Amino acid sequence: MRRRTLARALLAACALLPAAVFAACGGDAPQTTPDAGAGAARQRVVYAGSNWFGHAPVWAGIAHGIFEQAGFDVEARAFGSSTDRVTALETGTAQFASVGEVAMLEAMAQDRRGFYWIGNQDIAPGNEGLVAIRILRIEDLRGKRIAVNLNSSVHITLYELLKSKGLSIKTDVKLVHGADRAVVDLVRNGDADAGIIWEPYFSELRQLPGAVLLGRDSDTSIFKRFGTMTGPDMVCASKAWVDEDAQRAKRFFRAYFEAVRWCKEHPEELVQLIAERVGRPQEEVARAMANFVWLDGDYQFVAMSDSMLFAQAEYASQALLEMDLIQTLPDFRAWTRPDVLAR
Amino acid sequence: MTPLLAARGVTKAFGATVALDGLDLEVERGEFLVLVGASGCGKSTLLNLFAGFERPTSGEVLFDGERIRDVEPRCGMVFQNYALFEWLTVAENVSFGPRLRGRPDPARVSQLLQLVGVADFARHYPAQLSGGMRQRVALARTLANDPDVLLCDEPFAALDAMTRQVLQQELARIVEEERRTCVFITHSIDEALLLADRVAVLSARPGRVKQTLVNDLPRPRTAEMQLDDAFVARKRAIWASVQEEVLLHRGGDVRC
Amino acid sequence: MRSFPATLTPQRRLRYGIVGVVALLLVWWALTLPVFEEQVTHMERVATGTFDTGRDPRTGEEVRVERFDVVPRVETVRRALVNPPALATPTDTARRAWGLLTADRPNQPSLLAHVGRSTTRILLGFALSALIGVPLGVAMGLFPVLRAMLSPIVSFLRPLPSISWVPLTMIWLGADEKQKVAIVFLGTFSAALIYTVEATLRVHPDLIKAARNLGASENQVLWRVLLPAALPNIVSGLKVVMAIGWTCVISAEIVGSQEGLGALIWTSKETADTAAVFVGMASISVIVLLLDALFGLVERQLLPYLFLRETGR
Repeated sequence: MRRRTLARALLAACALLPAAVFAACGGDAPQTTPDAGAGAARQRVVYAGSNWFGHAPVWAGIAHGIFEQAGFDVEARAFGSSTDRVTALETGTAQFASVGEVAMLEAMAQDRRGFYWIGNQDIAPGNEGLVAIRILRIEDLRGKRIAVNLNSSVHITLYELLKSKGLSIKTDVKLVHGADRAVVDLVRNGDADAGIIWEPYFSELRQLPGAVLLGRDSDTSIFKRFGTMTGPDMVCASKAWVDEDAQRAKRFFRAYFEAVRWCKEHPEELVQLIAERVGRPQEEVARAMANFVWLDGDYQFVAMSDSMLFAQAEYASQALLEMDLIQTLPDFRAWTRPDVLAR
Repeated sequence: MTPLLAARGVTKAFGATVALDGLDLEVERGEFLVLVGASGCGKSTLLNLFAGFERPTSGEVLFDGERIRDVEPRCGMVFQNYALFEWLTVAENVSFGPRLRGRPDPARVSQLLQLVGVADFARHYPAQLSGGMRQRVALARTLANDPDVLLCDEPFAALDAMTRQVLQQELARIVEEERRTCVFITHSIDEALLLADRVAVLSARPGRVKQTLVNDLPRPRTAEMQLDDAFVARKRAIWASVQEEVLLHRGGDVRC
Repeated sequence: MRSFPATLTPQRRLRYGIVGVVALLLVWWALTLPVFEEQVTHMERVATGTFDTGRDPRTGEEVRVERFDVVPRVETVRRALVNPPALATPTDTARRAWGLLTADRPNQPSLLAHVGRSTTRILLGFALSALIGVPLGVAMGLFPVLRAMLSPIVSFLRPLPSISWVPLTMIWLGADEKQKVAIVFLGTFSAALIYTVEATLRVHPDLIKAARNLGASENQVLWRVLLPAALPNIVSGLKVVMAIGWTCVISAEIVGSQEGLGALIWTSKETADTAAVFVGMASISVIVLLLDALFGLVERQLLPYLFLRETGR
């Protein structure tokens, strides 16, 4: 081949290569087909969650065909941190997700508009706790190092517990970041004098030698005032997906909260389903699920109102602002879609 | 008078390869002996034995009547690739030997630098010098140790023709001035005849002394001599002897 | 192609280099310039005046909550070709860089603190690798038995990327400074060792012969000839070790650290702070280049003879 022709061929190949790579990678986006009613091909929906028991409604909905009946094919994926899940919603990698409230408020404070706050499915206090080694009172934590998963619900729980005894989380203690199990490791190795984390690591913390339970999220003023946890998991959805077809979103979330209702009405089967799914003993799961209150479709109107979550979110936002985790107060109501769950 | 260096019935084998087989050679004090021969015939091996880097498989190598047991600093070696210490200056290279013994001799060092003609470059590093200059430094370094014998393994082979000629004359002058004994390896018969008092032709592998010729061309020897009949006659004789060996054992390079 | 390789004078190279950088900055600025107008539909909450009644799940009591609905509101927004958080604008990045340098957010370390922390970790890990790897490497170069015994182990350890050491080191040492330095050490040690062994083996045997011929004892050969002769290759090997060490530090800091350039990048991802990620990455580049230059300076001091050219005839 003459050099000119060879050069041209090479250039063409270089131009086509990125296109080919792009096409190959594009397989992640959901294949949405025009909706033609219940008899049409099922819509594929991806859920971003984790292996925490609170994601049980999705598993139950898949296992018992609740989504299938509504015409949806749901895939549950374990996906990074709550912030990563917000990104997944914004980029279309997932269509709905369970996002920790703190991460959600932070995303709103940064004006990330690619998602909606749909609702909240559970009240499950008592699953987070502050444990110290041979320190008997919260007051004695002054000047000590506390291992905490920063930017999450336990961060607020710690803020509340310290505040209740007159300590400032910013100036009176030293925070050490640990993700999930790392909190247990930090306390065990002596790199922190106390740790605060959620289940199942909370139980592991309590089993360390010299462990003293100083408080749970159910001891905070948030729980006393608003009747819910410090940073509950919220049901969020991808804005693009909802806007594309609001009717479809309504149908879907109706089905989702049906799954939540199933969880509420079948506690023993639920324990079995969770235990099988996450590979933990049934007694442990049963203990954790004992104080779960499921909020199905009938209760979302209370949950997503000024009398409960909106008031709690305002308080939580103030706390985050005080802790310099956000720079402005988010207008979280602008992210809600009351029409999706309207009865 | 005992010869300064002697090899008696020396055999040296490297595994299955026999480099030298029953070689006999004597080097008299003050003589300039040149070894010529085909490639791979053991010339370098013989030099290594004299320097004490290797020990003979059988037979003996003697320095002034005594067995050479270990590395012998009294046989100073000059290498084809100079083997200069790149991290030391010229002066530091030359004074390396004396300083090892804790007796640096700056006067002698500068005298030697003058002798080999590198006095102006005393503070330079070898990397800054040409090949010819580096070989001069190497020579000075060896001389600084005041060896009884100079062992030269094709020291000028890496240099261009002009430099080579200059250095041949320099070496001849220095050796005569200092009255040193010298064992010199070369492939060039011209070089051999220019420098040697005696030329020894080694046979091809396994190496033995095939023939020795006394070189009685008059000194000082000049480059022009190469055109004289006497020179050419001797060259013809040596060349024929070497060629015979080359044709007998055509083969690749082997560790020599 | 008239002549190959074609080169430019240093001045022209500098000029074109600056042109390239400026062009890139312009492209970046253009990509983030909000020039496009887009109609975005927002759903706005409006009160309906009607009420929902039901039971409060917390108390079981009857409650009345006002019902809201949404109405679409069209807004014209300006967008760029690439929007945050994918790309931060140059001005935002500059502002964030200044903020990080001056530590404008309380409870968050300044950029220099991050830089100092990462640099300390890598220097400590590097020093450990060098102090153990170089002497051991020289010994392995000198003693074939030692070399034969250790080579299979080293060959096995060498391909392991530093990040694969994170789980073990976390179990052994927790998540403290020791663990970070250990990651750097484990990720660079085999390289330091291998480069040193090679440097030792590549010393020309004639140098050793010459030294012995000049009367040097075993000790003198080792210290006055072998080590100085191997030093240039050892130093160039250590330069590579330093570069490897940086990737080790960054990956070590991603898991369980609050200070350090790797930690900065990772925690900035958590808050979609792309500007801070840019600043962190740029800082890494700058520090690596600076340390490289420093290394080169030290090299020039230690080994001046490597940089000289033939002048004498």
